[in-house]
Amino acid sequence: MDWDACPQVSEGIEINTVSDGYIVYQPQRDRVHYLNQTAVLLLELCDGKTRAGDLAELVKSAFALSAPPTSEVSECLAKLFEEGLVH
Amino acid sequence: MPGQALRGGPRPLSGDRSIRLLACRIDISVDCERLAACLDQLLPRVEQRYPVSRQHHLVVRRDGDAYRISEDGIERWAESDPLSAAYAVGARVHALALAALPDFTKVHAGCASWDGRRLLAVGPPESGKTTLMARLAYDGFEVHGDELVLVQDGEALPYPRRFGIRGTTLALIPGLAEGRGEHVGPLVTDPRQLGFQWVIDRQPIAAVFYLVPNHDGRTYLEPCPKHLMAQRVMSQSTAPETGTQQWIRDVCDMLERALSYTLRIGNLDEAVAMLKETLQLTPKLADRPPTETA
Repeated sequence: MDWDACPQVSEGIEINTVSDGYIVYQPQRDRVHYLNQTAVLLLELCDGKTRAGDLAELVKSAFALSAPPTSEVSECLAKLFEEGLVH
Repeated sequence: MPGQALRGGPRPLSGDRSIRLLACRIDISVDCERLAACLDQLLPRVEQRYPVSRQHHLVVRRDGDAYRISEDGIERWAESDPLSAAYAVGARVHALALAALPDFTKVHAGCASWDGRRLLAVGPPESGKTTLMARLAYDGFEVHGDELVLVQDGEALPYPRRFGIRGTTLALIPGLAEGRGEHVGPLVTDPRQLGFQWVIDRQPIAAVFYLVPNHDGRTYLEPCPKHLMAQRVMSQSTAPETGTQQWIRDVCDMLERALSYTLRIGNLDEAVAMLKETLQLTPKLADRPPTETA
């Protein structure tokens, strides 16, 4: 993981919202992804301007956590990259 | 000469009937009383509040040892006995009815209403949908369907099918088991035949329950996150012909207006009480704001 990179949401995906998550459709791969609230927040933060290394701290603030959830964010971000939802 | 075979010619079509299934009206003509009786057992007779937009005509003629089936004037296939012909016609009737509604997402679910609030019970085969729906009918719910619900724009249209209740589950439904002795085969019936109202109409859903069997155990109700419920509902549904994007939108629109629970279903008395308690948390259909398409 390049923590200095600024990941960005991939183009062409269609986001549908439910109250506690996103249902994301990738037409190019004909795949559907079911994102919980943490994944939704990370996806929203992947705006092409925010450093990957800052994401855990931002999640900590958003959910009022006592410590940055570094490993969870790393795992979730890796999954978003792997599935092609961010680049 | 009605009711008698004509020497050297085809038998007269004495068993004419017209079946209405949502947007489809299908006229069926048969020349075999046994086949006609089988069809009457298989096909539902239900009050439906949905406009008819398509019509078809199926004809079954006995020809020697074969039962030849025509659809809209074209011979399609043949069966070797009246029961097989009845099942083939029954299956075709449902296929035509569903083909008339291509723009709906089709969800494997039971559907019932209580005190003006409608629920969906989603689940795979043998998760207990039919047993639960039959039991709800005897507990004051208005049951609409036990197997298939059509979803569009956040609303649900139950698909009218007769219920096939397994002999082994009859004992779980006291009102149904009474007087049937040791019935072992499946019981084909419907709410109307059991003495209840049976109405099919399109309405918003107040609560969605995903059924997880807990046979011989207690029943547990747990809130289910909607993004997880969306995944479950998608796994138990098929896309409309308009495509995957519409499929996802249909499911999300429905869930956004509904409560979402996992029902680990064991004891049916507990399940009924939990469903009533949960539905009371939701507004009645009459009190809900109109939907965009209403």
